[in-house]
Amino acid sequence: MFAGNDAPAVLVPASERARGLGVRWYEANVSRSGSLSLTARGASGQMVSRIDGKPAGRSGIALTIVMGDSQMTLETQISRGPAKGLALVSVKMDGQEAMVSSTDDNQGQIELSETWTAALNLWQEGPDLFAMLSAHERSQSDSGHHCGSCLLLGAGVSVGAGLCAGTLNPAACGLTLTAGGLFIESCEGACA
Amino acid sequence: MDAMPLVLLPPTEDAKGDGVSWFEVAAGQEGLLLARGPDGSEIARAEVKRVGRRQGTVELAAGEISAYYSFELIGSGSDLSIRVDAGGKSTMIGTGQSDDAVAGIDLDPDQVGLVAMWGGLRDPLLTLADDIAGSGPADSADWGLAACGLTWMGVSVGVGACATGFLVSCAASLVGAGTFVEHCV
Repeated sequence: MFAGNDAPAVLVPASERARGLGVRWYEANVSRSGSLSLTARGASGQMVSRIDGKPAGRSGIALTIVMGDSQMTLETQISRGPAKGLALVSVKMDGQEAMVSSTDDNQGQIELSETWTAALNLWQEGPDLFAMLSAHERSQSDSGHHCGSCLLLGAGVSVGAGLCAGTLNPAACGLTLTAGGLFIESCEGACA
Repeated sequence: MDAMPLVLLPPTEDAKGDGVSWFEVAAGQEGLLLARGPDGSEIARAEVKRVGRRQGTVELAAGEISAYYSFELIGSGSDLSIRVDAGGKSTMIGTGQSDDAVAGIDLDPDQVGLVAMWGGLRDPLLTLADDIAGSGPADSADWGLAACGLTWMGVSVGVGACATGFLVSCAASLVGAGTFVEHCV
């Protein structure tokens, strides 16, 4: 019902926090062949912002965030971390790079532009939204994770990594590492 | 937006405690709401049916616990009321009813918990329905199938909670029912 070229969008109501920023609901589309979009819509149904995603190699995700006239890119590579179940996530945002890790010595912070700050503020619930959508998509398949659910999971890791590297938000950093760990266990090469 | 959407709702705080990771809502005249656990397993379900222009039935189930009630929307505008029937007892919800009159359906504690959990989806469903309808042409509110389906489901779970004694659910359910009568009957 979710994945597929002709599938209707899945709707998720916005949180109270996001409603305060003008978002009323989210509309998600994912194709099993390897692309996704999550659109934040406003009161008259207009697009407030949109995230488009596609795989980048065996364990990477490339996202484009559209907000007004601005378009930002966020690319993430997820690899096995030093601790079981935790990932090492490298993130590149419009050319700046950082590493999200469970160790302290290689965690960088990215200097955010105003546009990036606004985008990450708007998409604070992005990691949770993508995690829920991924879990739902996985539940529709007899074979567990597949490209669609993995793309969604990876997109959540990517937005979380962006939040972590840009704002050092501890919750976003923690979620990035654990969700990244699940991605490595279940999704490496799923869209290859 | 006339297509029937699939809606996912994040778990309410109460539902998180019951192990619910998300709610899945397929809105229509015969709607199905599922509460899913982290692995996607079904924890509970609510089957909502519209059995007449203004009548509906609701069957709730979680494991061995189940609850059933029916309801009818009576009147319109400021005279709108809702009759809820369960287990051979009826209760009226309306602007003229006292709180004592509203809390009229007796269920055992497990059933009350089930009704309360689903009642927690009332506001998210009604709000989303309003939002979707509001996204239509500005000069003609587009209460399509999706918005009406979501409103019906919001009212359906809300009236059960109200009639079971969760009075916070009563006013919102009445407002939702009024919207439904105005735009969808």
